[in-house]
Amino acid sequence: MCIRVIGAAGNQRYARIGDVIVAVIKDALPQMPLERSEVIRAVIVRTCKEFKCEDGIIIRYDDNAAVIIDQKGNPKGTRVFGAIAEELRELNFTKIVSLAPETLFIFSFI
Amino acid sequence: MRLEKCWFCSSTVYPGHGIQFVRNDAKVFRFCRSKCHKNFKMKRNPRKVKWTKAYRRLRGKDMTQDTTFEFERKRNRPERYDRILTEQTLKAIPLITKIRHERQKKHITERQKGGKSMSRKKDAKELEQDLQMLPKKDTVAYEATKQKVIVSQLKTEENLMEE
Repeated sequence: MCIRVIGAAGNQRYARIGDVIVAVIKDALPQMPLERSEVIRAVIVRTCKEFKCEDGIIIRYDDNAAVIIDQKGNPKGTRVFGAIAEELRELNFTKIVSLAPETLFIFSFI
Repeated sequence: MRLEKCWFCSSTVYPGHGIQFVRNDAKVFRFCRSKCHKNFKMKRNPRKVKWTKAYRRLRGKDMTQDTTFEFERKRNRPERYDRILTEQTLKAIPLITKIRHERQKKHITERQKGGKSMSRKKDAKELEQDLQMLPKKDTVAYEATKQKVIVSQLKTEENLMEE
């Protein structure tokens, strides 16, 4: 569950793809390094809410997804599921993009 | 920039139009407008929806196989840039689209050709069988053409007996 969007302006209410958020774990599988009610940082990679690219393309994913990262921006885990947009590479999340099983090339966003 | 086809209705999606939906298996569905997007969300099959190109092609209403479609097929091998080739391609594009449209029109007129004779046959049958059902003003001309034959009852001995 998202608690706060990092680096967001005062009037930005919601996080978008590529934003880093502070979140708390609500539900975790039993034998995992992270447990329930731990506060972590994550970067949003997919949203159900459509987002508009600079060149007018509107993209919508099938689910909301985020990848848990540490303070520097490296993913905590070793695997990532689902499609990731290539543009995350430009936001210094290259490791996440390289782990992705499928990547999507959208021309430019934000 | 690339002109895509709408997944639902097969019309071209120009930049700045429509929505792209990315499913979790990374398949991208492009829609030209919200009508197609909403139909997709309703899980409708475009092959069953009458106004889509998929339906029309499936039912043979529109032209399916033609050499002009070969030009637009997507090739995944990149072509080395050749100025002369590009120039010729740009000149050829409007010609090819014109030819394709002509052929598509022809396909449709060919398809509709049998219709007139069929409707005439149907009308003739209706005049013959259901003359009473038709409105009087329409059948006056037809009735005038029919010759009235007077049938006189032959006076035989049997008839005289009945009376």
